Amino acid sequence: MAAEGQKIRALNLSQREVAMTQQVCPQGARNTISLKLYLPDRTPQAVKAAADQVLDSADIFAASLRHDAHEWQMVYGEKRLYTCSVWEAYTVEQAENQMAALDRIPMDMEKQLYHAVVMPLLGGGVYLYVRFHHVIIDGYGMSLFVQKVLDALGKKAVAESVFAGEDAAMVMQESEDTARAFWRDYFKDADFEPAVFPKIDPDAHEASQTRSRSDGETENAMGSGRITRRVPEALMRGIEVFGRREQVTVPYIVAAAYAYYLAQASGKPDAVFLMPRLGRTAEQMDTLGCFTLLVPVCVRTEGAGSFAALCRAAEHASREASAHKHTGFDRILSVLREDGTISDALSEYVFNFYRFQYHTELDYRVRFSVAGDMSNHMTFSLFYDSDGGLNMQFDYHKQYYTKERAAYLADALCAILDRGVRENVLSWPVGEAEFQKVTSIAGKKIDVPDDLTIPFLFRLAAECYRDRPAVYAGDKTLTFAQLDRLSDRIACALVRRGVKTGSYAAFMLKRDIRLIPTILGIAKSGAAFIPVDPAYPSERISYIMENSSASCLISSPEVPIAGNYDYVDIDLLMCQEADGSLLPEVRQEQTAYMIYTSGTTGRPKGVMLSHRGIANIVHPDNNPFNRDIVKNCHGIVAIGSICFDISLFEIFVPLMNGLFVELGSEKAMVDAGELASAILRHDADVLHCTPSRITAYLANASFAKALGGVRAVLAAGEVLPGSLVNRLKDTYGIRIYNGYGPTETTIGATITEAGDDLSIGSPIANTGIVLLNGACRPVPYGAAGEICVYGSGVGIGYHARPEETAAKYIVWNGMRLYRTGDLGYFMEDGRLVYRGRNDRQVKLRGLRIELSEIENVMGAFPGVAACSCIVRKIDKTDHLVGFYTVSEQAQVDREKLREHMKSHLTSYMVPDVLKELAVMPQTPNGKTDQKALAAEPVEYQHVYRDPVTEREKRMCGAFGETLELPQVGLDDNFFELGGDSLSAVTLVLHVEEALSLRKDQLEFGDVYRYPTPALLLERLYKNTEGSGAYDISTLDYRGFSAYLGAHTGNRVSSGYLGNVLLTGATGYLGAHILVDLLRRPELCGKIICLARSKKTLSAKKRVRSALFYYAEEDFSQDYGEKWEVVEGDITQPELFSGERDDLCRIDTIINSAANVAHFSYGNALEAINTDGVKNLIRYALREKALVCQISTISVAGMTAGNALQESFGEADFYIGQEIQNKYIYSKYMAEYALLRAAVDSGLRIKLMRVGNLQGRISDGEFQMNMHSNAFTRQFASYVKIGAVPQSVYEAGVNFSPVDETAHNIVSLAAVPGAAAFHVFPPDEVRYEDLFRGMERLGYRIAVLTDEKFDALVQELKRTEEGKAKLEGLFMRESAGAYCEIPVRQQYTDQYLKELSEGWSTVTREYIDRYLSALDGMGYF
Amino acid sequence: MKITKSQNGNNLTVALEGRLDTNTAPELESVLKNSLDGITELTIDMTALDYLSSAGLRILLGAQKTMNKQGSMKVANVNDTIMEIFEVTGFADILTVV
Repeated sequence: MAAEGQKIRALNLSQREVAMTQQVCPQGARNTISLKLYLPDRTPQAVKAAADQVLDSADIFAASLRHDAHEWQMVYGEKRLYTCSVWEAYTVEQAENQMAALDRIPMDMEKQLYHAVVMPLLGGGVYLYVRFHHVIIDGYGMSLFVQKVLDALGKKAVAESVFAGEDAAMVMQESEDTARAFWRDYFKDADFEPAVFPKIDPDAHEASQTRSRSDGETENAMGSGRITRRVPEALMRGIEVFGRREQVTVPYIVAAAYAYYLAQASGKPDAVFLMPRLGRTAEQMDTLGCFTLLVPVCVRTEGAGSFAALCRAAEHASREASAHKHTGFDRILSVLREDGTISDALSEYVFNFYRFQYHTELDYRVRFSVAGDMSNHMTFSLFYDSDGGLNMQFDYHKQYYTKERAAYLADALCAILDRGVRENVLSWPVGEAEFQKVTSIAGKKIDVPDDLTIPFLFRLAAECYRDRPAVYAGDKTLTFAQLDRLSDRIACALVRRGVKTGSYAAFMLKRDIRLIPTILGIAKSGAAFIPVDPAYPSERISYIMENSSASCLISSPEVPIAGNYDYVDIDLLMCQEADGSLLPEVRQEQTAYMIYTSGTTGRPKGVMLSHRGIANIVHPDNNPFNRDIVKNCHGIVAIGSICFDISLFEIFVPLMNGLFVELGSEKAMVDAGELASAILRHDADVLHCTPSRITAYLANASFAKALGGVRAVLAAGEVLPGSLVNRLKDTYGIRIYNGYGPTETTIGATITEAGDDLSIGSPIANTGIVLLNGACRPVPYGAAGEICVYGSGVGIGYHARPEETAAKYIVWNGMRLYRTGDLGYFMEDGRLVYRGRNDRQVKLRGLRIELSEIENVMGAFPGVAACSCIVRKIDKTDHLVGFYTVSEQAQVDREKLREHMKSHLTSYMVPDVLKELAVMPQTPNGKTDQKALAAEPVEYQHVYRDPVTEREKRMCGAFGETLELPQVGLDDNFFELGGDSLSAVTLVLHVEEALSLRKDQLEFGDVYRYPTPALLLERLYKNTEGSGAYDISTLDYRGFSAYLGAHTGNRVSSGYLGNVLLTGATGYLGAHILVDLLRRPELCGKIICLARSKKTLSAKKRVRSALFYYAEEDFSQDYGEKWEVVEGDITQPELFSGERDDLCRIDTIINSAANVAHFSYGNALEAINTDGVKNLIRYALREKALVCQISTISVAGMTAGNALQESFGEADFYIGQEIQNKYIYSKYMAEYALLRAAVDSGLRIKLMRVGNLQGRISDGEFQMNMHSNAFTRQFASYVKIGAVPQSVYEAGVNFSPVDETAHNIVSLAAVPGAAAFHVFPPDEVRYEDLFRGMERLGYRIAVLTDEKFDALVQELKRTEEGKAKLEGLFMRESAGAYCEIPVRQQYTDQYLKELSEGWSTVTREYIDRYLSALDGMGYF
Repeated sequence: MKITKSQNGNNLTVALEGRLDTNTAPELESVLKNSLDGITELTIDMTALDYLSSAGLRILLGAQKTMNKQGSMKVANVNDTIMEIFEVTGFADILTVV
């Protein structure tokens, strides 16, 4: 109940959103904003009086918040609640500190909503400081407040402000569904990161959170920081000039730079930031209150060829989002979460723009604080100064930003703006200072003389450690001197056999005493060694020998498979005389070895490394592990497979530094007990082992005991768990090191000491790391990017693979570097954190999933030892499967683990199957064996939701009956359980029967849009009014009618197509277009057909086969000259990136590629029909090509809906029609995208709206994929039933012979100046004529009244045989290009007439040819 | 197109070489018409068939219909190009491709 004089109002949408976020953190200062107005020549009393006058003038300052049972309300009293207080005088500095302190005080919105203070300044002048809770005022409102104070001071009238009135602007003007559909579409396919930086120091954060909970201290004091930057004068002028020239306003120019920074910094094509938008109507512009609505703005930066284009994209994206701000931010979030577009945060970046023109004669300065307590990472605000200058303010969250990082951001924005406005290009996301920093992460510089090579280094060691043991293997020993002599003999023997400097020598040996002498021997001979594992499959061995052209294979009879190859016996080499004079001088740049790694194409590739990398990495001062063992240890047990380069580290580092190598046997590599014996045999004190292997071995008692003598362990190849580090340290006093590095950069790139379970450490000596994004631009310091290694270790390349070498080894900023394909980011102190492979991102059901992210969550669950996540097919469907092992003495409850994952991950990232394994399978080099996991038996049990109500039971029953499954739950997806288009028909019939539905209550297409019992029930009973139409009413149609109007009905002149890119050439229409083009060679230049390959069939073969099928000619005499086939399809944006050199310059694109499935589940339709077209648009804009889009006249709408016109002509697009079919919607959206690009970017387009494509006029021939045509399927259904309803029989149908349609399309495509055509014959064909034709072929089809026909259909539904006959009738909604709205085509007809083209009359002969063609294929 | 017949009792193998289209289809049609009497197993060997047009498909369907009445028909050694046509047209379900 309101007390007298009180008014109670609900909160408007803007206020509700503020209140909602406040509830999360009720005591914080999160939603507080403040103004600081400096007035140099006013008295404190005058300022107080003016402030009080303004506080009095607005009802909002008499309001308080209260929480009713269900919602927040504002209670308006009659008078302002607080007056402005006047404090004692301060110095400016003190006043600043006071105000900063006030900004941080939490504000309890139920107690107080504003606070005004006048601070007189010692030495004259006054500060007015007013702090508000955001729930009563927005940023614009604060400026308004300042203006009103200035007015009051200037003795101007201050108008009364009433907030508690009607709230017209805040009402959503669109339906919930429309709003949802808009946002879903707005973010469709958006690929972005919500944040640039991971937390700077996660441990510190945990600590601070705990503290704030225990002693009530808020994070505010330490939580946020701010820097401000004034845009330099010259840049400001540049921005203004650019803005005038390109017709974009300053905020969008800055927003574009911001978006570009965000996208580049996170390595994504798109960027999303949040932007508060003014939610005021014109009448509310003078009202003090809260009207702001936050919207996410998603800017596609990829493909923007210039800065100007990006500015326009940013403007367009902002405006589009702003037009839908009334959805409310919270609801937008929930739509995107449901959709799986985002898992948690949408964006941590806010962009504010303040432009308020103050009108006053007074001298003043004003500043605002708008970030409150930071809940996001960065709030970037742009303010105009009173002198027209631009100030950038960066409020940052200290867990993600340091002052330095914020300054780097400011630099980067200025740099992007600078180059953008001066040169109209897009530059790097780092400024100069930051560039220095990101390119300075390198290990220490040590001197490695040029003459150090493997032979040279070993000779030095041999001289130094002559009689010390060098190698133990089994019961054999070699001293350094013996090893030197033995390897000399081998080297000389090789030279005598003709092995030359620069050649290759492969070896395939058992792990015995001859192995290491062989490696050294080959090195001394000047050749490069290639290790071959005897356990390799024979094809691999043959491939390596052939690929490397090795001059010999060294092996021995003890290797069982050696006999299969032509080899040199190692014993023969070892018994030869050594003659030092035979041995060549080896240079550091020479290839020292080549190691074969798995290639992406399935063929192993040889990685070539030089002596320089080895000389560097074996240096005693190269890294902490080397320093440790050289100083403190005497011998290592080597158990790495000789085919992995880590084995070279195990061998060369000890040998070159005087330590011995105990070469572990094959058994010691896989058996804990055997490894223990190897350690103890000569008291080795160094071990190299992968973390998962050592974890597994610790369970073995003798191994654990043997560890007692070990001092140092190198654990490379995997992430090192902190728990293992501690265990080894505490129990055994072992120092543990973790290394990281690809084979391609000589074994290692970074290393870290024990206890650092977060990072993979810092670069080793003479090595550096730089992190780049996909465009090879450095990412900001602290952001994740691809780890790229430079320095001494960077290898020579891949043997005989110049393309792959060029792709992975690049020259960047004057340095040769190797792109590892791994992701990482730098911590504040320069250590590198590994973030997983960038190729471990998979797509599941269209959603992007980072597997390592899931593994991180799984691995954090107590008791989980090792885990791995993969995507697996189970019963034909892809599922996410998580495997894990359990630590000793621990147990893991699978359901609890699932709960844990559910609470940390978005639902689609929670594996469908979790399986505990006794051991995690490992590859020979100790990494998790993904292949073995893929073969591990698993069983998928879907989450089953029982039907409860009678209706639910019946619905689920109908699903079960159709799919022949005993049980179907409410949330089970029809298509995932094996349903297809045929069984969907059966499902509709079963559902109709089970729920006694009226005819037509359920449409065939509904099964695709609502594929589970629950959704289908909702469609049937919740939303009885729902027309099921897609929302096309809220798209941005600005400029379309003017454009189409100007491009219709112009004079015809002849044109030339130039070089043509034709898509969809294997399709019915596409093939006929190709034939037409080839038969009229004068119309175009070269024709490039874009086609996909299929299984073993090349694209070229497929196109030629289609040509022959239809035209009985394959035009091979013209191939290469006049036309060519290029492999690819329009869904691959990379195809059009400009890097394909097989695409010549293109003048005209004829896009006849389409997915014509009129019903489909998933996103295949959009992918090809809409998104594919978007790819073409980007390409065409760059190439300045014309896009000729084959569309369908069905875009005119199946039902008239709210059509404002009575017919649909060439110059029409959206006239209020409704579209219910997904296929048609996808084609409509393609036209929309094209028109938008035509209007916004000047793209030249031609829309060819075609009708119902049917048999060739020449011979009646129909399409190869005849069963996918909706019209003919429907027609065949009538024939099979043997009856047709009267209404159909008397109707007509659009009928477009494919050859004439193709011919007319080609003719019209060459006409300049026109944009849309309706390409189909003016007269319909009567069904009656078609059925008569069928009678001539001997079929009997009865014409029934509609009622009788329906009764017959009901009858047929009872039997399976009957259902099969009915199947085609369900296609009715899209059959025959049916439109409720009459379609006009007078302009197209006029053009065709002037071109002397047109349409043949449909004759009885043609109908007969057509029907015979179908009948001959057994169609009926 | 070259058509080679080889008969072994009631088994007939017809090997096709080249292109099966409107021009060559009548030839195949007449060969089949005159050879199928008493045949219970017909094999169309497509090892050397390069191209197939719609006209050719109709002949195959006709032969299949005939053989349905008197025995069986197989289509052998189909290359990838032609197999795709069978799949797209739905003939893969009608013919016995081995």
